[in-house]
Amino acid sequence: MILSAAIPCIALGLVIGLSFRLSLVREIDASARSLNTAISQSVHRNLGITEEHLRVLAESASEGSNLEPLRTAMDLMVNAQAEMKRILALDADGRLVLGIPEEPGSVIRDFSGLRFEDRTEFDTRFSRAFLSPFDGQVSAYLARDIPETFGIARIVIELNLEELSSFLMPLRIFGDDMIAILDDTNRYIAHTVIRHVREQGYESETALAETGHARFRRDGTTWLAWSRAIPGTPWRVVYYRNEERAFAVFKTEILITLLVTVSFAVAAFLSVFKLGGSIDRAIALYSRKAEAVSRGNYGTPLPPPYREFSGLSDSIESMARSVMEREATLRKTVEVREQLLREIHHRVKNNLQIIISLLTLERSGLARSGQGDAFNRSVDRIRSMSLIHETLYEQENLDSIDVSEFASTLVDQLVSAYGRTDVRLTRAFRPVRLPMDAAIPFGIILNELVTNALKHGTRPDAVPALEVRFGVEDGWCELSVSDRGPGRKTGAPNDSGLGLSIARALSLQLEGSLALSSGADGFGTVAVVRFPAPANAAFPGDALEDPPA
Amino acid sequence: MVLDRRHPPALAASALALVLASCAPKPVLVGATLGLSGPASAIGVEGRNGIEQAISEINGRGGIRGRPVELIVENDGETVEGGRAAAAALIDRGAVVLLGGMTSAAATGAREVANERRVVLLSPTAASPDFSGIDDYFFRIIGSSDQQGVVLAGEALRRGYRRASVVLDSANLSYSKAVGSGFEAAFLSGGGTVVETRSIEKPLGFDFSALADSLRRDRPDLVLCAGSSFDLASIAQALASREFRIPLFGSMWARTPDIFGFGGRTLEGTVLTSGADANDPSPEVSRFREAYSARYGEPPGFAALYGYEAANVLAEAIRAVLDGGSRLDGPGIKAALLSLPSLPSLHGTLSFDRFGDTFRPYYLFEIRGEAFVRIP
Repeated sequence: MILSAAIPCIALGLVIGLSFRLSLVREIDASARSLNTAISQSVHRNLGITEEHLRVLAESASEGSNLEPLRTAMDLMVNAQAEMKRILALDADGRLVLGIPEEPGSVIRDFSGLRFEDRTEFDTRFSRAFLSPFDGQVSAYLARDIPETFGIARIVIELNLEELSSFLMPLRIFGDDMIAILDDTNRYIAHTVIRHVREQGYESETALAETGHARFRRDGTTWLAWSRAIPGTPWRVVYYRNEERAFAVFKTEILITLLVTVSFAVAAFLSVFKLGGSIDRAIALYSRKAEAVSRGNYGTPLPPPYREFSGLSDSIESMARSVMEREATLRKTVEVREQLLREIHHRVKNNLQIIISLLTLERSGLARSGQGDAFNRSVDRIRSMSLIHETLYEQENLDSIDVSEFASTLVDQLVSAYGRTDVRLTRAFRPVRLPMDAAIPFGIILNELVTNALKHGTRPDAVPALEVRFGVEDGWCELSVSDRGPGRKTGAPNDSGLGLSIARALSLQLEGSLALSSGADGFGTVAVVRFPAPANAAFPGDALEDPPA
Repeated sequence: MVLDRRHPPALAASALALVLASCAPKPVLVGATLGLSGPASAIGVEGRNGIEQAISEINGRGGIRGRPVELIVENDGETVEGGRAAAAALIDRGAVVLLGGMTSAAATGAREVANERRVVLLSPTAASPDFSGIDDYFFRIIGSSDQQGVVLAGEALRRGYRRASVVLDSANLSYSKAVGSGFEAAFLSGGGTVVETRSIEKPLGFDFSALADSLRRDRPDLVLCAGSSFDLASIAQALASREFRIPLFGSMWARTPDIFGFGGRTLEGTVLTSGADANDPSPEVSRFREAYSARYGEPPGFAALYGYEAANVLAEAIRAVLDGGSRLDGPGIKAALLSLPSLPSLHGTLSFDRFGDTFRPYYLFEIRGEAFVRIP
């Protein structure tokens, strides 16, 4: 978020900075072009003076009756005009007819090697820069051809290039700017750094060979240079500006722009940072509320933190409403079904009660024939099943049953049914919930074991006692029923009776086992049934426990 | 924090860009001691232009192993003292190798400093035999100057000349004396005679009229000038002003384009020698000539060509040093130059002997209509 916001800020800063730099470059370029035009015209005017002198000399040569007027004019000009180093009057073959200043010791008479540019559009012809045969110094010449008079066909002025270079000096805007005049081979005719002329330097930037602009690095400095033709000549003027200095002129403006840009970027960055934090917080709150809705709190209001979230809020709220309505419908359906199931359990229980009643009636007849016990035990078994159904329809949860309460009731009923109020009863039932398919076998097993204990677990020399425990330990449900009877003596019916057979069979059905053993002192019987505890069988709750006797 | 976690590549790239920006390859600083002013400076100016042309092309190709070549120049004025001062100044400015010493006089001074400071000096045109057969830091890609005299003597004899006057430039005596000696030995062995050997003590202000008068008195069949273009043209002007027409022969030093400005038509028929022909029609020379003409507005002379070749030879040596991982200093560059096989040049190939000398053939030219025309 911060980066994605910072990038536009930085980009904007760069755009502003670059725009300003570009406008500066345009400004500098425009001023340099204008300056270059002015300089080239100044040089043109300066050379124009020399050209005018050439014209005067040409007239002097043609008007006089001998060479004296020309000699006098040449003498005057060389002495008066610092920019003229030498004036030569040559014949048609380039041989010297008259030279000022006169150099008696000089052997140079043939100037046929002096080369001038080929263009004929100018009255004045311009040479390239080359070494003077007189002194070996870099020179340049202006010439004018005249109708041959007194053997003279061409007047040539040798320029004082040091003087011409000096002329350029005050035309610079800043002291470290440079101005140069180039011939058509890009050799320096004049330069504000006179060494470049003396050492016969060339401008090697090809862009400056024509009217143009170049940026290049030389001798550790980056230069901006503009080239412009000098009107009426084959020469060019080049203005060089030290780029660093050129921009330094605008350093205040650049500094202000930089400060404004940086301030803007920092402010924008901080705003975005703060805004980013507030957006993060709002979205986190919104997420928490959406999570609450997903957990089922469909009524949680979900106001959109931003307009862009309206659609999402509407969707979530609409979804929550739909789910809520569907859940209400389902709940109603479940309630109806639970009611129905409860009714079924109730009816099963009633039917079992009717069966018990019928069996009880039948037992009265069978008792006389000695078969009452079997009926009684069957009745007990059915009662235990009925009790489960009764417990089920009285409780809220129809899937499973807390067997501790049921077991306690069943034990009480059996003790009461067998008229064994003399038995010292100890019950310890921890809260254990069993599903229906385990609860009924468990109830019958409990019924069989307790019935067995009540029937056989007494002896005359001891106080009858019955201890029933049930709980979950290490993932196993464990039911133990102990009595203080004669124990598992030979011939005792409790190993092979129907009750135990049923208990054993149902233990196996619960994937468990039934173990019988004697009490610690050799008396009594301990029946222990163990079977795997269903998931979440043990649950927190109060244990039903008789106080110790 | 968010930036760090989510955008490590962007940060890494930025950091890398900064590091790379601050790690621009260090340029190879090449110094050039050249005579750039005075009447005999054409050889220095042309040499500089040829060197610049070569370095511009090398840098245009990405430099040497990625390092740009930077040229720094000092004007030695073509004198022994100037060569000494220029070489010292260039080394002090950080040059790891020197080019130049275009005249033997300037090379004499520069060579002293180069040997003292153990920096290689590769001269394009210093031809004096005084530098031959010495194991030092001086190298050159031009043959010995006495051979110039030999070639000129052969041509003089071929033309039937038997009497010669020889004029030596005292300012560059190491060179001119060798040309004169080579000429004299070959001329004598061919049946000729050197009637007189004269000297130009100092070209500027020298009394060429008196020299012309002396030459006239010698009655030679030809005058050989072992001097600069200014010397030879001034002699030609002086002889012409006396209407004394005599065949002129000049050594390679004088074969620079500025000679026409100095002498004009008085030089017509002058015979010159040179170890390079910039008008050679070979593709290599043609390409160089065109590039040079486009850059400098005029065709190259021999000094430009030799300057160009010297800079390229040096670049090969520097490349070999950098490739070998050796230190880029005088001993390293010297070893590389000596170990390089034959090197491509604009005129065939060249190689150094163990003293850093090379052999180049010399050609003959005649001035006709202000042009150097090669004599077959």
